Amino acid sequence: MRLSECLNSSSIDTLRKIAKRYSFDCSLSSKNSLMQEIMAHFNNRKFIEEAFSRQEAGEYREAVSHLMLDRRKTFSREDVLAMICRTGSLQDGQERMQRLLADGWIYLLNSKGGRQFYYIPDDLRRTMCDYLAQILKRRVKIADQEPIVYRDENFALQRDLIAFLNFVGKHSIRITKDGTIMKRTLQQLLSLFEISEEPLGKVVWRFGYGRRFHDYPDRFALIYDYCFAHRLIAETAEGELLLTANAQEWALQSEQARSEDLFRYWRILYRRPIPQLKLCIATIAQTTKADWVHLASMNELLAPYVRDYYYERAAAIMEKRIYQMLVHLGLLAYGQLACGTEVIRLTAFGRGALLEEAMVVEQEQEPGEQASKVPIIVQPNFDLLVPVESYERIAWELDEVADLIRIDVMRVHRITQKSVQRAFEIGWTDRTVLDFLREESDSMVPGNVERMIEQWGRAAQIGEM
Amino acid sequence: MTAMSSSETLRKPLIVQSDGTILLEVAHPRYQQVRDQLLHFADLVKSPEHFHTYRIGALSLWQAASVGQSPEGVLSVLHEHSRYSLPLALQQMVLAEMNKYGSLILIPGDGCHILQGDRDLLAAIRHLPGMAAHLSGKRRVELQIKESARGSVKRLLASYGYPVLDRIGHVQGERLSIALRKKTLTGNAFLLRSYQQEAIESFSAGGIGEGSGVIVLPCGAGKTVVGIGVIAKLQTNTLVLTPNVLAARQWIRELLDKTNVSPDQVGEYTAEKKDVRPITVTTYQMLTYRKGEEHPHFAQLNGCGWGLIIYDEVHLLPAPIFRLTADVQSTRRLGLTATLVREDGAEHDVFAMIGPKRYEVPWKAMEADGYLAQARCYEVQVKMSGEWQARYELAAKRQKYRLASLNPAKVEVILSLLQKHRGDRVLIIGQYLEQLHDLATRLGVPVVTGRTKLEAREEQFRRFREGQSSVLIVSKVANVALDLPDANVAIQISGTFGSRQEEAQRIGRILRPNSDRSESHFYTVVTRGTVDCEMADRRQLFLTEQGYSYRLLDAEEICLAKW
Repeated sequence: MRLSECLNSSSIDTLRKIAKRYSFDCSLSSKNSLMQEIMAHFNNRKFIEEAFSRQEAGEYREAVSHLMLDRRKTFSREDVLAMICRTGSLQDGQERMQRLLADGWIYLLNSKGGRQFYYIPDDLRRTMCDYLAQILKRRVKIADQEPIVYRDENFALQRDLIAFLNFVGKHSIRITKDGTIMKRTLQQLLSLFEISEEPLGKVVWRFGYGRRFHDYPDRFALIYDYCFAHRLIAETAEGELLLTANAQEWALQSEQARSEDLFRYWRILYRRPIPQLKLCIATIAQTTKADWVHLASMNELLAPYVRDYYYERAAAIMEKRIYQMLVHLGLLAYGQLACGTEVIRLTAFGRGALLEEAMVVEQEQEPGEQASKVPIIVQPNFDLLVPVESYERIAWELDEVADLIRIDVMRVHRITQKSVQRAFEIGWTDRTVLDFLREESDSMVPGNVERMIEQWGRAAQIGEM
Repeated sequence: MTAMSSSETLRKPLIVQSDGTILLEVAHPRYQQVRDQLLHFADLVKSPEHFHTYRIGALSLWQAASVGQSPEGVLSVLHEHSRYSLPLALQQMVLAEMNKYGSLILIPGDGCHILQGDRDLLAAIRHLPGMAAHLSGKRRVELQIKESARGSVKRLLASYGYPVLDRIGHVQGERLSIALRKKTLTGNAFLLRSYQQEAIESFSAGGIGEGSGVIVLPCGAGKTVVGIGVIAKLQTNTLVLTPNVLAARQWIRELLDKTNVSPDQVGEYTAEKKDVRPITVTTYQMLTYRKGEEHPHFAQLNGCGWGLIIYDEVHLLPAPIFRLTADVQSTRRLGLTATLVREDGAEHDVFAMIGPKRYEVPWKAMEADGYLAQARCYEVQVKMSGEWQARYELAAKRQKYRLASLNPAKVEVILSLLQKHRGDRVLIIGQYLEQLHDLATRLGVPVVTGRTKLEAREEQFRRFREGQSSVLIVSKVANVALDLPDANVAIQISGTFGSRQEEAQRIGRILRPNSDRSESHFYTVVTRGTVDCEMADRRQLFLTEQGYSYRLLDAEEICLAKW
């Protein structure tokens, strides 16, 4: 809602309070002149900035910035109270609520259903966000050079989630009495992931960040909890981990939609141990949207919002629970300058998801077409290098004719005499195997591989006869 | 990356895996530019037709740092050309390993050498197993190293993953006046090729403190000439170490042919002769010869005022040589080789003891420039007669390979191939002596095996070189560094795959450019459907990975063809 609409829908009494608060020089009895006066001032960026910065630094000003950085369209009374009452009593809360209204930061309006909600005018919020971002940026250290080491994990998290679902679908997985996956199976599973993680060693204290956080390493714990919460997998009383019918439907969404949903789930999951998580994310998003920012300076900026959590210090929470997870979620890129200094910056996906900016490279395809055709590479030593974006589409065929060696930037599968013979037994022939390879590799199959597969084909025919 | 799979990202030529493997697309328009950049910090592993494989690791990164590359430079090349975003761990490895180079510096001290570096690092090094024996003082901010331990310390630290920058410098050898001829003694015009010139320059560049290292050139690229060029550039007494006597004599012949030194300035130090001259050529075997705890020949040769030691065929350098080389660190060292890959994994020793890679030209690049002959490879499959087949089936497993190799049906194919290559210079290579001698008798051509006396061997090679014989049968001896110029056809009739090195050597025999610029041919004759074929598969893989096109031929086809 724009400011003009907010003013229009407000009572004359509300407008009068605002005019008095700022000592506007206008008739207090005409709604029209009140509106015009308020608009004239609030459309002036300078006026807003001054109004905000004139307020003494402290909880009230913090509350205003939190409200402005919050991206919800409407707030209930409880929402607003919760944001301004973090430290003070409820009594203070009432008072501050009145002040927010009188200062013109929020408006209490009737919604269609007859309930009352608090609104922040969109145009006001935009101006304030820019201004707050400027202030925040002054408080962090911007890198004066590009990092030489950097990593954007992009949508790897949801790809690994799919790898997990595929794994559960293909193998019968036993779980212990406590409901956890056996260690060896877990190791096997983790080795399939694009971003590698080690199973947990001995841990003393580990809780607070999800149902299975205690049992699994950070990233996989999130994947698992998400799947469990969305009923994509089920733990049976008989000690089995099974795929549910929901899984297939879930996989039909676009990569971006899956990634965004994972992010929403994570934010709710981690909010309990980090109550101000939302504000932390907003602060990070505003300060790192365009520049690489020194991690250490970000720590200082977030320090007031992050508390120690039982077994973990605030600094560790920022690094492991906030930055690291935002990197895993594909929202934040991590880098190192030549001198080794650590820096962070929002990714294109991060800008889209956190700031609602259009993604730099738009990619809205039909979900069916999404697995775009990027050729695989066939090596003379019978290795097949498979790009992650093609894998989903040909996973089935690959599984039949080759063995998976490891997951990497490109997945490594290998054709062996055994794997090809296995394929022959289920109906493939040397011709269809070669056709598949040629088709998927843009006809770049090394000669020795072609000859060998033909030779195996002949041998199989002779065997049959 | 998936979301960003715009055509631009797809078009990038590099794929960087987290284990340091790098694939480069050959058909890419930026192929050549990227390859030249890659060679500065990665080693070429395979070069099959569509994608070439390179590898980066601690050593290749140290090499890069040693020639002034920065981690920023390396990473920006990778970032710029990589199709997918780079694995974080790999990027961090590049940064860490390259920063290691130069973090430990060895400088001259008072009665000892001084190792300088970060305090914590030095503290850690002080306590490495095997280190204590080499230390002399107790200073804290730097380590005092015994003068005698210069090489041992470098070698030890390299094995623990720390490269040491040696700033102590080299001793000035005795001066030698030597110049390259414009026209060789045998009457041919002689001019260094551009890459040979570059190799010599890049080795000789830098002051006295710098300047040890390895030059990597493919077989047939004229490594000996490069070595001679370096001697001429440095003008100093030189000791040349070679793998065997034949190679040593080859060096002497080339030295006399291509430079103005007189015969009495060049000495052969072998079991037969013990001449120590301003340029002395010896073998690894001589140096490592032991009498009790002593190395008499090494002692004899050490301290003769060498300004340069040349190690020919570094990849064949036996381990004891590394220990001895640790004692000659004050002499400038040049390693020559076709490959830095050592099957014993002692690459660290080469780096620490001889020096970093100073120059490299890949095979295929030289082939493209016409410096190496284009080679075509064929596999000819031969049937077995019924009788032979029966013997094969009944034979014990260990006998099968031999029987398949000795298949008498191969002879007919060889005859047809010789028919086809009338007028070419043909080498027939085999493993089984009886087969070789049989063939020699049937064809009436000379044969050289390990049992042939050295003089007779040299005589046969000379005759072949000078064109008096056009077909020569050789056993495995042909694999080692000897020089058979102008062979343009090789027919391999038996022999295990052996090692990658061995295969590289064999194909190297026919890579010298033919005078008419025609292609060379490499045939392998195998018996169809036997273990012989399995060996051939490994060879096929090797050759394909080296970038040679490979064709299968039918024996019947060849025998019926009218050449």
